[in-house]
Amino acid sequence: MTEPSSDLNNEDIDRLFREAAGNYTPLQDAQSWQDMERKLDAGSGQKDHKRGILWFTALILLALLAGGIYFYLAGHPQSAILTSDSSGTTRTVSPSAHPSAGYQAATTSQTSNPVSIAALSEVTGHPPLPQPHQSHTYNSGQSYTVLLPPAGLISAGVGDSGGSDQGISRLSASTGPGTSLGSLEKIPAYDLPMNFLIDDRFLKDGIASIAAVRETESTRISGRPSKSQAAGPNWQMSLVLGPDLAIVNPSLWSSPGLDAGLLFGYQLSSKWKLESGLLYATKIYKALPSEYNPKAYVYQSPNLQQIDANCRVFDLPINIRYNVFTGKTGSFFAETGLSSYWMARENYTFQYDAAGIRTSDTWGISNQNRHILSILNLSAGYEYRVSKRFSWQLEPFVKLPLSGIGYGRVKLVSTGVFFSLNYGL
Amino acid sequence: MIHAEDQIVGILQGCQQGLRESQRKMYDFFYGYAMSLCIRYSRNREDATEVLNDGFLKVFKNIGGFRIEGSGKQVLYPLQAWIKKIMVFTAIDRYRAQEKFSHHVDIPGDHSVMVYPETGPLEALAYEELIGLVQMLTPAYRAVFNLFVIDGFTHEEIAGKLGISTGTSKSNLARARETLRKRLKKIDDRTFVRFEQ
Repeated sequence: MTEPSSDLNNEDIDRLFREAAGNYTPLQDAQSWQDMERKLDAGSGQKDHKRGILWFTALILLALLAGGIYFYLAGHPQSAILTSDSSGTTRTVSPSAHPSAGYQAATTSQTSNPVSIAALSEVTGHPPLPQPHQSHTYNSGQSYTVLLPPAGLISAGVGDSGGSDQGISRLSASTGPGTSLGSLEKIPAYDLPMNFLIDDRFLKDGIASIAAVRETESTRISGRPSKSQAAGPNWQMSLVLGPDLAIVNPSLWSSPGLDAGLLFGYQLSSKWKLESGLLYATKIYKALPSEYNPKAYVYQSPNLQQIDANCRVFDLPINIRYNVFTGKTGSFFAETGLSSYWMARENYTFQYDAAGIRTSDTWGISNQNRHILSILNLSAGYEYRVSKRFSWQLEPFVKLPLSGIGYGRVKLVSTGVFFSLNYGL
Repeated sequence: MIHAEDQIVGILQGCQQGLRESQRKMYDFFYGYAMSLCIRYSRNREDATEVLNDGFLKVFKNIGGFRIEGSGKQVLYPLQAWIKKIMVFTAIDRYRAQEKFSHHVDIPGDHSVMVYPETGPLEALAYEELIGLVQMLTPAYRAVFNLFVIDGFTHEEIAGKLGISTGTSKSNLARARETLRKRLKKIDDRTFVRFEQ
């Protein structure tokens, strides 16, 4: 550097500093890599932390769900099953200790005269009950819990009810024949601890009525569904259709895709239903390169501005639904569960800026990524019963990722509304 | 000492797999090059180190997308150019983030050049001195001067990156040059005096 700077023109200035920049190499200090390593550790720690929070949240939700189911069932116990021996002594056993759990039960309180219980006859298609069919006598002043036969169990005929006519008549007078019992599990008669016979006076439309009687001023039947909810189908099939808005970056919106599919539901009780099936979803979304965390990159990033995705996904949900409020013609419900995604096809368009010119490059993969139980489903809605078997349903939903989704392992959130047509099987 | 042309592919693949040892090797090898770039965009060495480490964080995060085609120089030079771009962008991002908090005035008073402990030959000191002069520019002048003169961006590109007009970019460049010219004159005067003595 020998030229007097006052003689330097712009070109000289530029050349001088370019030369300096090209030849100046600062020495590395010992602390620099340690600082860098701390940044690297902090970055991976944050990811682990976020992942940990998501898993913890999912576990809490599942625990609450399981707890809710448990406490609901515990608060609506299936009453003890009555048994008797030849001496007429009665005793009860816990329904949980017996395979016939699933029956609804009637709790009665005996106040005076002995009553007899009509017994349930054999189930169609099953071997005859062992002889003899017995009627059972219960003593007054004691509380009994009576087992009600499930809907669908059909009595083959008039049973031997011994001296119980009076009792049965009283019961039929108080509760009425053909009282609907709701959805109950079908249990072979020989699994029962005792034999029941149903008087065919209590049969209506092939559905058995209340089997056990008592002489009392009132009969309380736990869990009996309302008249508007006559014993309906246990299984339900649903055709589902609806828009699906997929989001990774809230500031980058895309047009919604479409979800369509078939779901099957099983009614556990009047309040709870289990649901699963298969949906075919179109996920359309946009994201920044920084929001992608693939295992292996297929693009060079310096001029990459945005990545547009269009994916075809098979969604396998497993959901539990709770009827929050049930009216005469419809139900409001809340639903939650987990979905598994099978990424059938992933199409990506990489948007680059090269010297101010926007260019793009497309790339795609098929059947490469699966995410088992990695999406949290949350929804609520309304189901309107058109008839005993048909209903339609409106269900806004949100699907939250519990892990990265697809090639880019992005945090893909989906929201939309499901329109469903339901048919009871 | 890494013979980069021989080992760069292996180091690059290791970084793409997230191996810490490979990341360290890459960091050590490109440190001088990247720091010389970051330091002239920064006010001081501490700021430059922040820019450098943020830049390397982006390098390691996105290095999986770097296509390895060929070996040796075929990989080294594109990699170096790619790292340079990331460092420049990181420095500009930091400048834009701090822009509203900075005072756009020249540093008054003593224009003594920073002297690093590791004094070397006169030429190295001069280069370091010159970079120090660039550091003393106001952030706006410094950014435009680096982008235009040393890193070869056009005024239109600079305007887009900094969010200013091309006219402002040209104006800032002219002022940066004038400021540097004045400061060089002072350095010259000191050198003349030293030689005379």
